[in-house]
Amino acid sequence: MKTYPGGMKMKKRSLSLVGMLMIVALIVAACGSGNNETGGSGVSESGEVTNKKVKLMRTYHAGLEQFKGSDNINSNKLYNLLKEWSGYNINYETLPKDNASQKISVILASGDVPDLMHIPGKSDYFKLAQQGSFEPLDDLVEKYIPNLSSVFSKEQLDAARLDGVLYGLPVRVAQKVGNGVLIHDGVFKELGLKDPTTLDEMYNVLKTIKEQKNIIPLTAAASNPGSFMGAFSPISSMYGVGNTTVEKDGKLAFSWIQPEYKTFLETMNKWFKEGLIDQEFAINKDVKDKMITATAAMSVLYWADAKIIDDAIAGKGGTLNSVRYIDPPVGPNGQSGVPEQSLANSFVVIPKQAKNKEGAADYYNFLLEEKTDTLITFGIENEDYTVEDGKVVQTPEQSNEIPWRTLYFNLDTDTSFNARLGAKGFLPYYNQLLEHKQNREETAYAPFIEAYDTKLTELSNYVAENSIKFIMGNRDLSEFDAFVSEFNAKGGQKAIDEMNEWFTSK
Amino acid sequence: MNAFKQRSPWLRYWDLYLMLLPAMLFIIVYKYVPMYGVIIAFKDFNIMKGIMGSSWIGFEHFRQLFMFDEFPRVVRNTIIISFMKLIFGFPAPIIIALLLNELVLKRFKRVVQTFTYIPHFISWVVVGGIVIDLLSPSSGIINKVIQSFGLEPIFFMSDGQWFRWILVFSDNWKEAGWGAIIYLAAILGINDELYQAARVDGATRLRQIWHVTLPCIRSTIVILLLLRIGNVFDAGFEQILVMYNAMVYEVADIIDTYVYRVGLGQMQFGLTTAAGLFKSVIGCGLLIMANWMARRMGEEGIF
Amino acid sequence: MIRSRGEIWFQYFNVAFLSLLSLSMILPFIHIAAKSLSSEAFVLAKEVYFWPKGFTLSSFQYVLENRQFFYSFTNSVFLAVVGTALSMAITILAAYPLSRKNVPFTRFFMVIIVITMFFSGGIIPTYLVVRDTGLLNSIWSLIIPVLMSPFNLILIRNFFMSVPDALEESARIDGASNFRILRSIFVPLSVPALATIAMFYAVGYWNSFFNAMMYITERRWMPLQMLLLQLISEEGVNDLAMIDAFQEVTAETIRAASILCAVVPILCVYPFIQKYFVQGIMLGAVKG
Repeated sequence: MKTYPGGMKMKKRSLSLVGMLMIVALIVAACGSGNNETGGSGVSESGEVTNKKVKLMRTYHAGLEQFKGSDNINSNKLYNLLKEWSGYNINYETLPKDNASQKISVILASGDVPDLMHIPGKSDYFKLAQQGSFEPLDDLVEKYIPNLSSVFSKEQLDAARLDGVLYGLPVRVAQKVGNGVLIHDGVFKELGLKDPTTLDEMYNVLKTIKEQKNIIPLTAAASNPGSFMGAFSPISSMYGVGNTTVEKDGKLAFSWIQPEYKTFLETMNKWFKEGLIDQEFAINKDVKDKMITATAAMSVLYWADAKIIDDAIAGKGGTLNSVRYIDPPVGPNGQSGVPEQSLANSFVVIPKQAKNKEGAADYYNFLLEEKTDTLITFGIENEDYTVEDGKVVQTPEQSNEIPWRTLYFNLDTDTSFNARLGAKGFLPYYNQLLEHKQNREETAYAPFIEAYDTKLTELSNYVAENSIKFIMGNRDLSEFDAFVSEFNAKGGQKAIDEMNEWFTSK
Repeated sequence: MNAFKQRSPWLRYWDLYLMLLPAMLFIIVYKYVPMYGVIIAFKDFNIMKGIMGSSWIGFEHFRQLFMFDEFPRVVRNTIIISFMKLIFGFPAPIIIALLLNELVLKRFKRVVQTFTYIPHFISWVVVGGIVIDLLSPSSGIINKVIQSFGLEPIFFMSDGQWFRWILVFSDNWKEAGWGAIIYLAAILGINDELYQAARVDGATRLRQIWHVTLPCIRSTIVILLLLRIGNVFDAGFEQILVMYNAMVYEVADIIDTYVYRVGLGQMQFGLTTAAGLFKSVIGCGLLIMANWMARRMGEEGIF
Repeated sequence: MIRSRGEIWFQYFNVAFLSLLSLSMILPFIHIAAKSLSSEAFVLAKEVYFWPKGFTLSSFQYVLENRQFFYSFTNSVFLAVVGTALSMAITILAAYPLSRKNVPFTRFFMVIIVITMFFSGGIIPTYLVVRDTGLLNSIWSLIIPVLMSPFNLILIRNFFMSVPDALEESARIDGASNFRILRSIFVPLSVPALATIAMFYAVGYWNSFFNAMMYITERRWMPLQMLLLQLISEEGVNDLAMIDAFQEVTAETIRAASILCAVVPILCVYPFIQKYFVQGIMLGAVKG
């Protein structure tokens, strides 16, 4: 075997080569990372915006897949009108559906940013705002977005403030409520059951279903991380612990460590042992099939799922309106309801390095104008809708012809939301839920609180894991106190203490 | 001749180095230039100040990472699951390749080859869903069979005793056929004369496998084993995330799934880079050790 | 060929075992196909197994009607063809010198390359390099930054190492250059291995989507996998509450049809490369 003479020398040379490579890498890197462009002023002396080019980036939206022919987000009849009416040369881009926060990071880090951007997720928004990524909006709002006051209350805007400064405008959500107790009407009729109105009645109903039909009385899907809380929220709400926090003696406390939560778990444990709750609820990813085939009689489900289930039953030869929501039953102390859902989780921001901040604010204001709002809510008059007696009339076909129009929304309105739901046939299900009592979550109105917001996912995951074990009997409920101290030691105590500093001074 | 030897190797082998040049340029520009990013693990990263401009915080992220209550649990799970997959999963493609090679009917062989590599292309979301349905205590076919023997149904997916084996088995099922392809290619490279010689000596098929096939693909096996050992911290993020649930977090939560589940990854580049670095350093260390051992045992190794 | 009884039994067993194995692997695929051709109601009720219920082609119509599907399909084919060709070229060129035992520094270069399998700068610095090399929003951003896989390089190098020295030496005595030796000896001798690695690259390009999410904002350049991921990936329960404007939940049948559309084209590659799976080509030429 031949070897190169002078192995020692080679090693030394190799080392210096590594060094050289590193140096080259660092130099190239340093050249690449220096990027501090700031846009010149695009505003005339009177405050009129002269830079008419605005680049927008929004979150992924299923509407993107629904364009027909050669239309796309930057080329269609509504876009053309938006461009014409506003006078802005607008260009839309979208974030990917997955890994959106990574894409946001690379865009902000590169300095090559859009003028207006959607940031999904409250904690991402506040983390980035803390790092100075966004332009403070108070002045821009005052100068360019007079229409904002008609949309948001002071309380709603305050929830987006960091140390008193507004960095983002919430993307308003029109949906008020998400989940409710859905029942299989056929099963109820067959057994002659009345809708349960109290906890005891609910227990009896479940018991009857189990004994007389031997199907799963109550099912739930709690396999995916984060899904446990919603899967039983109307039941925990009967004990007043359906929300993340409860108010006690003028202070907030985590619901999950209250004695009432223990009682809730005891009840669930009892129901589980008696076979009233799906023995597979912890592994279920989806319970639609069980509701469709009537192997389960009740479940806590989202309003869109209710319609999907109903349609599927009809599609298989059953009758429509086979499932319906019941009013949430009332607990021993008169508590009931479902958690309120309407708060924004996305924010519209203007990045610090944006080239046309004024234009972005001005365009945002333009979208709030009544004429524009009608355009993106219903489309073009006499083409996508007609006006009769001063009221907009739009057929479902007309609405479904332009399902992508909400792409241009920076916030959702009740008018639009109801119109869209009506056109798709979801409204009957959603309206049933709307009548339910909604429990307000105070912390949703809080500004960013570090110890609380950064820990909440970890804490609620910990609670979900242990709650499932308590219910299934894998952890004994006599250990509830130990669970409470573990929870507090994990940062629960600190989180709620800091939250209360805001709450008590409010 | 002597003068020729004295010349710098760069000149003597200039054409060989030229062949290497495009690859090295690629490695430097797209791999080494961005590598300064690992210092994020030691910095309080601020997206506006950039990687260079952010302030140093030393080992704070690592301290934070190691301080998590669940950290020992997730590291232990990562290693256990990964080693289970290594021990029971690594030989499977080799066995399949050997079995395929023994088939006499060429057309049947092709069909089997094509079929066994299909699952690789079906994502874990789909495969996980199928596995969950198959093993369901109420409606799954496996439990129907168990019940027909008069036994109680088994809660496979929520039973810590079973869950890791399900991970290993389903991973094996999905990837073994795909993994066999490279071994098949190696087997095809074997000189036919070696088999002829063995046959002349009266060797049975089994002896031929043992004395010809396996020795000839040994270097491929070693290389793949080394690379697998280096990746010991990749225990299958997507698979576990799709298949697990709260009942089995204790035995199945690995570093990646835990970081994801509790939302540590969200905009926390320092912490995630630190976690990545921790995995890389140990993985790299293991590879160096394994490579050294392979060379001691007379193998070529990777480097 | 004389076979003992045991060997014949082994053949039967082998055929039976591999048939069962193949069956278990093809069934999920058939299951997806059946779902894609069924009515939504039966799929949601989990009543579709291996034969469609309520047969309809509407989900395929939905997927294929989308004009973006064709843009993305073309992009992915381009990636798989051009990307694989470039990757193979650069990898073979690098693997040959690195497989030579008597050439200095090869071990050092291997270390340099293997390090990149473990340590990377992370997405932000990589994004900046991709931007500075002018690749953003171009299909090349999905090829050039991933041009060579160290894993594949190591495998090819390993195959080159097993080529008998005798062949190379006789060519060198004939005065052949290194490049010529690579082209006329090493490449032809490693055809099954090279075909396999080419398939690894093609599959890698076909299946990649993360880089597309980072580097491509213009939908025109989106590869198929990224498009289909948008159609397939589920809104988690957390996202449902987060939905800012109402989104339609993608139907299960459309999901199944999308998966098929993404998988079938690349599945066709393997039967194609099997043509190159011929036992020991030219190896008869080796004497000694």
